[in-house]
Amino acid sequence: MILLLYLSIALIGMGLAGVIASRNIILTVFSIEIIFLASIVLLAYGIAYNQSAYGSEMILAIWAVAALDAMVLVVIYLILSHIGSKFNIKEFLEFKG
Amino acid sequence: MFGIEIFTFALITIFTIGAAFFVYLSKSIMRSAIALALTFFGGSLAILFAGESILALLQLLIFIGGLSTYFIVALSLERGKNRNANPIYFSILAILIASSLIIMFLQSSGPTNAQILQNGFLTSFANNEESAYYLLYIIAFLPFAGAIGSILLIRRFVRELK
Repeated sequence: MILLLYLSIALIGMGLAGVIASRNIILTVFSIEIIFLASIVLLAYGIAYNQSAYGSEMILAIWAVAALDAMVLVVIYLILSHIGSKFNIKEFLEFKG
Repeated sequence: MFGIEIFTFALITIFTIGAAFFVYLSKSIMRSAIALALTFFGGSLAILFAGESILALLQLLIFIGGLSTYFIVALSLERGKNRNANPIYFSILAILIASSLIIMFLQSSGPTNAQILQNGFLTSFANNEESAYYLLYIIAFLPFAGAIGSILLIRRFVRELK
């Protein structure tokens, strides 16, 4: 069962490294999703370790918010890419609506 | 000692981590989304292997059934192919962060009763309920670690702008 802990730690490391190393905003969203996956794997480890499911409702609520956030970010990305943005931060600041 | 269960779980772990690596190695963003769905599937298999069938089912329904299908359908409109992450930089960072976290967990896991009584910080975690809350704090921190990383990324963008 300790392998589950190591899997979640590896996923945390990959998610954080992906947030730092990614150049695309969608990959940042994917990295955050990988960290959510690590959190649920660690929750499974915790339940198996202690036999009492503290916090499972909270994790479900965080899941719902995360799914909504990711959907909104993908919609924003698609709208901006169809406008023709190159995802340069200077273009965002010069955008006058 | 090396039974079929550990072998199966090692295969699931290699599958999950390999799929998560392919998220960053792929040039197409849609292939990254497909690799992310495979990562979620491997995670749900690992949770199922741990004996939490309802959590694994929820993981399958919410992440693969809802989120990944939406990602793949929405991002199939994208046609551009370019390298979205530096793979060497990503690999070095992932190995560094994961190894430092594993060392931290190895240092703190499995203290004996004598060590708990000597250490003032660990005394409050000696009974089971307190240690469960300690693990819960770590679990609750993880979703916000991603948000903190995003804030650091935006701050780096703003600093480059200046």
